[in-house]
Amino acid sequence: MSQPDIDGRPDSDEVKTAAAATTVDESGPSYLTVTNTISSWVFTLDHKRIGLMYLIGVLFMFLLGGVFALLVRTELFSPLAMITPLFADTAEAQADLYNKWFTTHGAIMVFLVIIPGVPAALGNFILPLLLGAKDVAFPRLNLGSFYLWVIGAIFFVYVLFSGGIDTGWTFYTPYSAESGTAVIPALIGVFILGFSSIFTGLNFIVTIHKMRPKGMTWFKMPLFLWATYSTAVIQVLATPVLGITLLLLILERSLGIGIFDPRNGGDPVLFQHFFWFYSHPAVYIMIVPPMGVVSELIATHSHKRIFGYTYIAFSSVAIAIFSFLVWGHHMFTSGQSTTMSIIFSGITFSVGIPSAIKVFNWLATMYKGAIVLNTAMLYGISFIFLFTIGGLTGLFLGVLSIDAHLHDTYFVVAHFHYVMMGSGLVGFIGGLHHWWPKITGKMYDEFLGRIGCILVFIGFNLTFIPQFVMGSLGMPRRYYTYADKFEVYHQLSTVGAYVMAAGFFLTAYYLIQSLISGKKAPMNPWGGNSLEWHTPSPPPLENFHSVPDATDPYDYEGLEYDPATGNYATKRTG
Amino acid sequence: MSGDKQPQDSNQQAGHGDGHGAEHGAGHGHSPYQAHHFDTMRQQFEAGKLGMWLFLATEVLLFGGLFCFYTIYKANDPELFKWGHHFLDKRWGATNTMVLLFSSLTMALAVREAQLGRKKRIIFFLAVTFLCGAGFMGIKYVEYSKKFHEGLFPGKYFSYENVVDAEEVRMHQQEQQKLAHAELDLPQASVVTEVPKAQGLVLQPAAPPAGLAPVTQPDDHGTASSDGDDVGHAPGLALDPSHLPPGPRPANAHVFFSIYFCLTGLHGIHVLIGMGVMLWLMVLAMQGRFGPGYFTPVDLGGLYWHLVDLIWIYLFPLLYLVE
Amino acid sequence: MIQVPILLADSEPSFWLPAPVSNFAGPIDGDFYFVYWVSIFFLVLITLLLGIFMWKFRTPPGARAQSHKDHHIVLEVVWTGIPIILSAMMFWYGYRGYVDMTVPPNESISIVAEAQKWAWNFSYASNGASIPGMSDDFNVVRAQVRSGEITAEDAEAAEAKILEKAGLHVPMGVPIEVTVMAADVLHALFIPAFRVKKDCVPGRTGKLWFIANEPGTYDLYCAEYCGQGHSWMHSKVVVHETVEEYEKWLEVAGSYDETLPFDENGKIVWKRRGCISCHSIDGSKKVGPSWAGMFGSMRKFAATGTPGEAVADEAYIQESIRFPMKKIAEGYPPQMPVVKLTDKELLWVTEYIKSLSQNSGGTVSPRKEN
Repeated sequence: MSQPDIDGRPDSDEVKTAAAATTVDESGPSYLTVTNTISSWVFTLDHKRIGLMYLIGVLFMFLLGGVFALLVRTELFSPLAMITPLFADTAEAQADLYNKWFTTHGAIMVFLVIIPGVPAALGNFILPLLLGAKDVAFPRLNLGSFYLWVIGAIFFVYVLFSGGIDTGWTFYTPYSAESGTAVIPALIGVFILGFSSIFTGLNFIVTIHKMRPKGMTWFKMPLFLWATYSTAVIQVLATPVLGITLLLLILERSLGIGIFDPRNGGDPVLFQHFFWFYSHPAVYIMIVPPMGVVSELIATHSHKRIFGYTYIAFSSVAIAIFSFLVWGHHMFTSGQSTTMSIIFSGITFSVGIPSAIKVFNWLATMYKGAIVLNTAMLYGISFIFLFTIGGLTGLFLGVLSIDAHLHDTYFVVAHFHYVMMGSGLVGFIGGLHHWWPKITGKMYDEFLGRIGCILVFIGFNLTFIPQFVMGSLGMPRRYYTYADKFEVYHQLSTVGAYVMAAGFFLTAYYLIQSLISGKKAPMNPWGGNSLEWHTPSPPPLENFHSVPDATDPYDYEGLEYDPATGNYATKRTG
Repeated sequence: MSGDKQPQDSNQQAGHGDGHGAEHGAGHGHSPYQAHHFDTMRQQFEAGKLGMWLFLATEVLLFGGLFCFYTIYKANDPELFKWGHHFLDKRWGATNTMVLLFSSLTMALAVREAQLGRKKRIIFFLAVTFLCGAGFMGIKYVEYSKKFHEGLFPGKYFSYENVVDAEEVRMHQQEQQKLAHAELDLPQASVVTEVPKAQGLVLQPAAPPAGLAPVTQPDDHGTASSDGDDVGHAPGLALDPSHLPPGPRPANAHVFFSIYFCLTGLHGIHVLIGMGVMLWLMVLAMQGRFGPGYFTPVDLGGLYWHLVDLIWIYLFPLLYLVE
Repeated sequence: MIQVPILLADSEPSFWLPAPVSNFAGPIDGDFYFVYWVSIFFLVLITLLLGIFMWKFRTPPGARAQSHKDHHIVLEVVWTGIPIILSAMMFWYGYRGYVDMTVPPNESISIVAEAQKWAWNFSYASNGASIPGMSDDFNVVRAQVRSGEITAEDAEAAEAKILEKAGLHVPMGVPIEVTVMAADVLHALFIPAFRVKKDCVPGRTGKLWFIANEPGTYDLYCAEYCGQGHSWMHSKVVVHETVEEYEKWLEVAGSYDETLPFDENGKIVWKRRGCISCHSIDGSKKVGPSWAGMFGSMRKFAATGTPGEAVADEAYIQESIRFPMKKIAEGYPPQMPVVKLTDKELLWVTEYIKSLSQNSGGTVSPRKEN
């Protein structure tokens, strides 16, 4: 071929007849450089480019959501008005503004960052590589998913410019049915984002079912694929329920149909059931893929087989199944029947067990491993610590008697930040660091990386541990002002938020710096053995010059480290 | 290379791009309809099929939420559905059921013809399926416009006024009948049993909820209505008293119509989408694409259409036939 | 004068929890500390292991793992089984405690707590008294303390004065059953010291019950986001040492001083019954129209209610209070809940509204000081 196809894929029979090479040809253009027109990006079907565009979008939205978080924490530094008077004149308007800030922070982070997060921004890139495949099952659907995400993001930006919404990200009725803010555009945006999520999940399920290479049975897949698969099942089955819930809420607001608003004959608690039926499985969409990342991080950077592969794999599936059965644990004080509350509490504990199994298996993986404490590994270790706290504090909330006290307090806020951010986001950033060389072809500064990780870790704990304490002391959530006795906790928390922000800005700095002046990444900088490490960094457009056979992803013995290049080469089989 | 010559994939619309077209031509050793990231046609076909089934699962869950809405309100207030379903014409509903069932047959036949590669017949059966869908939507139009004419809109646009007006006219009519019977000096047994029912109607029509406005309370009906739709002038009634259900009006009567319009409306949107899919498949068929080696789009489109039919099979008895 | 106890209870707050002053606090705190110590154990264990492994097994790149053992069925059973057992215990304790909280004893005193945006109102079955939460007045005192306008002692005295006719008052040692309701959107009644919380759902009633074990004054919050004033709905619970003291307080608090002029009592109604949340008396626009200059003016009504216009006379005021959805003032949302006033309260507040058209001004109720 005199010029590459616009999709760059060699014809499959050419690939089949090429000899399987023991050394990989690292010359030639990568997926980044093969074409550089705008339309080759806008209309790309290449999962790597789509993943990269998602990554940029998600990180930008993380910045935006983070700004709102800093606004919230700054305002809460004192029970007196801090910065809201800069934007609003009366006490009432200032309170409204604060309510919009925390709503926007939550909605952006949940729907635009954490839910798409690992699956869309990392999974899109890595999944086909892990499978030795050329792409996902439905590349056009994949691009469609991305544009749906963009459209959803545009709706959110529109909402921001229309004065924002103040309903809380949970949109509870009747307040969301009557709030004068731009609720309907926000609901439409979330609806569209839901379809983005559904199509991504659908794509991944089919890819994993139908496009595994020869020799890669289900139990020879890297665990990241088990995690992605379980998540995809949740995405496909749970998200439509969110869709219909939002649709019905839009109809309640516009037509007064009488499903959720008691003034029209509806039931507010029914909204909560509908909403949490999706949103509880959704939190597992947020945590299971990062858990999959952590399995890869811990095993690779300890250079040791993952411990308890089968148990970790099945725990992802178990979490996915049980996640559909516990939504009522968000509603113990709502007035739902005692029997239902008891059932939900019981099943809630079953969801915690598989997560505990994972943590112990990761620890066992580290035992007698050869642990390299680079940035990616430090994030993996942070995950384990922070997830332990997040998971354990979930137990408090699952206990019916304790929840009566802790529900809707800062204890809950701290718990979910530990799992969604301290675990979910930290896993995402760990994966970003782990696969950064593969995605960009550059190495970042490890020293700055560790500093950034430590800053984020310290800042995070400083932000949220005081929130546990004030929550159990009775500080309710979503409060604009508060009793004086809680002030010291809020101040600690705000300082922690700024430390964390510093860590994130440092991370952004050295990652961007790596793009400009970072060392060129070798093919296998960490010594992993899953298939993505057997192709150049960054990969060619067709992923693999010759389609590889399945490897044992956790067998590190066949790799030899070369300190001169920083690469782990495959030992020549004698 | 134009942007159109993309490798194929299957999306929920059973869509396939142009594949290779003339530029690639023959000589690949694989079907021109096989996307480059698949190894075999079989793999592609199975992937598409699995993807479509997963999409159908999402549709089931989407409608599931609405069926939940239905179930909960029916469990809490069966009278609401007993009252409301009288406004629905069983004959139209049954006709629509037959239309859709027939269209599923023609769709299945279209798939068969696609497998055999008989272009004219594929297009014929797809066209019949399309027309059935159009017929379904036509009947829907008739049903909806009758309801709108009678003021039976969803939610806050539901005209309690029209219902109250019709109820009052019917009450007057029934009282006239009682008086007429009384004058005849016949055994009064049948009349006596009628009176309690009429009293039940008069004394307890449930007031609509406060959140919906404008509504009128039965006791100050005459003063608040500003449209001149007075009870005394029967010919001006939007809702004919004979169309009213026999029982007492339940509280939150409008919720029945909310459920009705949500369920049938979302279903109708899916029928329209399905009709669009039929048109598209006809275009592809006219290009001569389908044959034993490749009929995936028709197959997947058929799956979608069957689901749309199946959802109606549930909707019809739940809304129209509940007693 | 009723002596309202405002001293701290004898039980002490701990680092994690408020002073346990209800019958549920003991069991719930017990459950809390069980989960807490199990959690601390596992957190310390896991952190230690992480730290030790990071230290002992750290290597530069290129080293080999010392072992590739990747399964151990006994370990898996142990670290699955122990969490299962502990979880079952936690569930069981929670279930027992919860069931106790759902069934109030027969001989409870009944109080109804009604939440609206953004105020509480407590109705006592025994004498029909309707006592407001007066969170706005408490917020004023809090703001004054913060700005240094008054000292902490003055604040205590000011709060005690407010509590003479406001707040949720209960006698010690007697089961109290609180029926919670909401007039508009979701709220929740939360008393941290008692460890009780229940959502106030419009269109439904909920129940919570408790027995207060120590006299004192405790915080009462709204714990379900309800919009602008969610964090301002901060009232107080007062536990009286004896039933007699409680009953004496109730008698006085529930009364109006009928020797006062109608419009003065009307102003008290404005505060007590929550009108103050949405209607100002100085012309400033809140959720609802200001009462300043309203009486006798021509009102325009939006299409969300019955459209048209009319003069705001006594009949209009009474209709607006009894049937708030009938006529919606143009430019305002249709959000006024039905507020059940007694006939006397209705008369007084009407007179008060009338008085606001004869003279201008009135005090603004400050919310949060800048």
